[in-house]
Amino acid sequence: MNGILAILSALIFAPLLPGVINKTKAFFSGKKGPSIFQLYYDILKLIRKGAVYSTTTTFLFKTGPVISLAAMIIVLFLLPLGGQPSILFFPGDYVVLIYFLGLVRFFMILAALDTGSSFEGMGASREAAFSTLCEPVLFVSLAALCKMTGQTSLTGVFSGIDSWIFGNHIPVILLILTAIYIIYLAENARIPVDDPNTHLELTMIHEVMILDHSGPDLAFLLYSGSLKLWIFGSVLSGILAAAIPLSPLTHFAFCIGWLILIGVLTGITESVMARLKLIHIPQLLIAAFSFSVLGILILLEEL
Amino acid sequence: MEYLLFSLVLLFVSGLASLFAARNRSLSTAFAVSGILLAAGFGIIPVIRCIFSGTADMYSLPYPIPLGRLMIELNPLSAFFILPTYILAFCSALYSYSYLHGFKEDKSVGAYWFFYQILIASMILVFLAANGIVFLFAWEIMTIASYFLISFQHEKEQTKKAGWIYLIATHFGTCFLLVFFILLNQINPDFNLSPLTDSNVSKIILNCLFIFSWIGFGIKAGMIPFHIWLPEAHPAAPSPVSAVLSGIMIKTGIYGIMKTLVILGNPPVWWGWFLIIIGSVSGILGVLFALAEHDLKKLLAYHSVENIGIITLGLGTGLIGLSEKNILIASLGIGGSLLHIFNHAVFKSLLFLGAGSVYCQTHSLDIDHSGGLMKKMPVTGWTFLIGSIAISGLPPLNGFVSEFLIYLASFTGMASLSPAFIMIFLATILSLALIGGLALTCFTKVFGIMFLGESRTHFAEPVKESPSWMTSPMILLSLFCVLIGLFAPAVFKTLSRPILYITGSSLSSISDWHFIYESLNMLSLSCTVFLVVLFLVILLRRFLLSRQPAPYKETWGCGFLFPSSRMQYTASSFSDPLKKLFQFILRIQKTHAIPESYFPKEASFSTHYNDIFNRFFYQPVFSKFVKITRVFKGFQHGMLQMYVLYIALVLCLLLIWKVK
Amino acid sequence: MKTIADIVLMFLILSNLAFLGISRLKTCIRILALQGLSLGILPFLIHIPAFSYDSVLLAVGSILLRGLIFPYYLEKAMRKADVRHEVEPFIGYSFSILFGMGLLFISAWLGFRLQIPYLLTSRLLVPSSLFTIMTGLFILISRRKALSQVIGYLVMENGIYTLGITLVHEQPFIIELGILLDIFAGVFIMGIMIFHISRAFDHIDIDKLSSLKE
Repeated sequence: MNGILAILSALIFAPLLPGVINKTKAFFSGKKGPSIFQLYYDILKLIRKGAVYSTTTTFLFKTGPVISLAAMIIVLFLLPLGGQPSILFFPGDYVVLIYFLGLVRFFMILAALDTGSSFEGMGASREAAFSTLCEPVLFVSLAALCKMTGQTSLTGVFSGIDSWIFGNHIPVILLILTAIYIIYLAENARIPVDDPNTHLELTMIHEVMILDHSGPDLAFLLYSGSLKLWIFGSVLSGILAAAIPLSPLTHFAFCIGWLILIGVLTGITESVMARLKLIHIPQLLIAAFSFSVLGILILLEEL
Repeated sequence: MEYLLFSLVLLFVSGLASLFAARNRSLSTAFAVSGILLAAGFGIIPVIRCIFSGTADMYSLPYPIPLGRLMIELNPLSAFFILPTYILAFCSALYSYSYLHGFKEDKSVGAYWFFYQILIASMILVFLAANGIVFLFAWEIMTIASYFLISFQHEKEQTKKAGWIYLIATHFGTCFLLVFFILLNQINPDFNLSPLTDSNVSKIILNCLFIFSWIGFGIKAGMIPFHIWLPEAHPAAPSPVSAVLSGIMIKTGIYGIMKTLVILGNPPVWWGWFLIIIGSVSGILGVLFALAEHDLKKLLAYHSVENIGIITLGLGTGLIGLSEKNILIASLGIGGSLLHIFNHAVFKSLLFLGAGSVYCQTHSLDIDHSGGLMKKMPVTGWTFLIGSIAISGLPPLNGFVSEFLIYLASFTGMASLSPAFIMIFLATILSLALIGGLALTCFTKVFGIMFLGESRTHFAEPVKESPSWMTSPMILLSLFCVLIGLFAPAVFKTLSRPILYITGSSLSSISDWHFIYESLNMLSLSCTVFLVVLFLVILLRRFLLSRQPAPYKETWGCGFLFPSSRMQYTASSFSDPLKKLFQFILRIQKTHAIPESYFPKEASFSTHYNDIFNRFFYQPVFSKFVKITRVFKGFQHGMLQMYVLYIALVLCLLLIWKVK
Repeated sequence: MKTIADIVLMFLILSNLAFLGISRLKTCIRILALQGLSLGILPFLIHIPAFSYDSVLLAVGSILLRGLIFPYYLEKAMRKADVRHEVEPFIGYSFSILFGMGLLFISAWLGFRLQIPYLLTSRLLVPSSLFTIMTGLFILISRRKALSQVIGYLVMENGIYTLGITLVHEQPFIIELGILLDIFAGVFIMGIMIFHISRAFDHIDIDKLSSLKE
């Protein structure tokens, strides 16, 4: 029951997160900014419209958004939120989770290449390169968490981090949080990796890949984008919320609170940082990688 | 067992029949295909029975051979390897029927079929051999038969060279195997391939045996650094042959290593470490080389190296579990490795057949030259897509299940074994993750550039779908990909006997396995839920779009008015960011002519990739070797009289030596 | 105590990795200053009887020299010689970081195997100090600019310092102060040298200095 509640709350509230980020950014640049509900309006507008397709495309172009949305929903089934077990939890479920995100990437890249446009090809190429570097970081971070808690499922890991473990492993947890936060920024196409506001050549990664999508397809993509923010945010908040022992309901509220705070933090990061040069992005991701590996090393020492 | 022998005889006889009927192409093919069909039908019965019942079936032929007895044995492990052999042999044979039509009339189809049947029969014999001599005999026949198949188009210079490289490489391996078997004979008399009974064999001999088997079988399997023949032989061979070679023949190497482990028993922990390191190097470098490659079949060959790496990783994790007496990790690792063997056989041959189908239409294997094939060849496109998803290890298809098992083995090992093993399991996880990401990039590149977008070159003949003789095997294989992905628990159940055979544990340890089944059940449940959700989302999209028109227009060119299909992203540009990042390993050579002056005439840019092992190790070593052996060239001058003189001299010397 | 020590050592390791991946010399110097400051508080954290007068002296000396004076001189030298970036190092930045990870593993392997005869708060001490020494050596080997060389030298010294306060439990401060003084003189001289080299050669690429060997 609680699991279904978690999925429903994700499905309903996920589009708020980009709103929170944008509001924060607007605040920092001294503007009023769009409404926090802007993404809802955009999605509603788009699903009422028709779509235009390129004559070059095949059915794969249309599968991109569909698979993207479906995979995000299945990931929500696997993702525990607020100390509650997820609906589907089993040993190794995070592997399935990460690989479903990989499936999304596979079809998004194909959809981009399907248009035959070199702009979209460029975006696809960069997305492929950077995400390839992101995946190992996630795995190493999860491995560290697994070793820390002795659990092999995401639900087990999150409920395994109690305040005692949290207190004993603060350096490791800090490192892993930093690593996952960098991956959260990279995977969700935020500054400093990608700029969600533009699709100029210099920045084009994610935004340019979806250049040719329109109507409901674009709505699906925007929606699954916000779900992705929610998913990565929940991984972070799941670790953070474990610090204090709480009753289930407050734990849940705590998690949501952290999610919003992470959104605000993202907004701040975007406001105070410039986008990195493309050639420096691998360095950033390798840095994230070294954070997570260092986490494991320190964990090794603490055991 | 008699069925299997009968099946082998049937293969041989039908091969001979099609050799003699070579004049009549279709008759020859009919003999061969029906021979394979019958042989598979007969052979698969005892194989499946053995996989499910787990009883080994020993058969000793009443003919004495030098140094031992002619013994064959059907055990769960060999049955597990024979099963995909039959399936692939059948699929490739069907496919060859159409594929051979592409060759000119003067090509002897009979020879092709003869060697094809011999190859299949000898591979099955390799899996069955229970005696070192029988094993080596079958091994050599397999090598020779595959050599002839690889150099089937021997009129091409490239093919001839590839055949030679293959022959030299594989005989180098046989060399080590000879030493291996002689050494084994010291501790296991009569060239027996049964598990050692003597428990106090010195450690040094065991370790030597392990290393020799690694080199000897590793060359066949194509592990780095012995992978060098794979990217040469595969592009040269006809596609159905590549499918069989990559699907099954390189697995005989893995079979050999697994068999060695069964024979030697009780692995020390460093074997596990060693295999994991070899596996991660093979996996990561294999996929990186593939990323740099533009030739479709070479790329697929490098992916074979990668997948052999994954299989080795699984085996290594399993060995660590075995040596730590943790049967759960051992079964997960070895199970993942076995399942990946089967999976790789299925999807890699599917991809090779797809490559052949494309080649028959476009007569080019350069990825950068094609494009937009999806519309013209929908069946090939669909099946190739399924193969690409499977080989990238993505859910819900089969490649994911085996990788998942290996992941699970390492994560479980990490959580439950002592901290000393963290690093090695971390290495497994890391390499799997990196391989997964790179393979995904590589196959989005292949599929996206070849099948999507617009055609980059103008083909002389209109490209159309291949005939159904070629597409139906591909459809069959892609069905396997989907079914194994969705019914993972059932598949693991069939794996249980081979796993128990390798781990040498009894049935009682299966009670540990509820953990695995629980996980796999939930895995297939999530895949099913995914498909249901996907279906619902598709319905939603249909509904949303039904109210509005969806017109077709040209791709938006961002304001550019004269787009041409040459402006599309190419495979080389697609993989450029990653190639740049890994340039310190890949060492891609670039040649370019920069446009000069105000009205530039010509400009060109090309990248060239030469395997670094080839460039920095094999080529220098072999050219040194050739220089050294040039001394002996004087003896080899073609004068008959001189050769007779040599013989006489040697005879004299021998006589003197003996008499003295 | 242990947690704080761990965090400081974690910072030490991360800052070493940062040296490997950052090309801006100014940032490197700032990080070096931070490293010096954090090493200054390390003596209080690592031994079980935490407080002693030796450690106070050591901490003050270290903070003053490593945290303030060296960075100040280096920045001055940087400004005078007008170099901002380490351009074209012998080994690229991404690969340097990966190589650094390799060094980290080696030092962890070595460090966990060394037997320390008395109680330390954190087992991370020996590995991280070994890693710092190795990083310093790696910078010395792989970088071109004389200023980067000085940074590498100082990083190596930081490593030796950390190893020193770990291993020499009783009387480290006399030795350490001696070393510090040497380094101080060394940095001072190098600052002047770099300035003169850059005036004479228009650059401070040390591989060009090999032409002076005759």
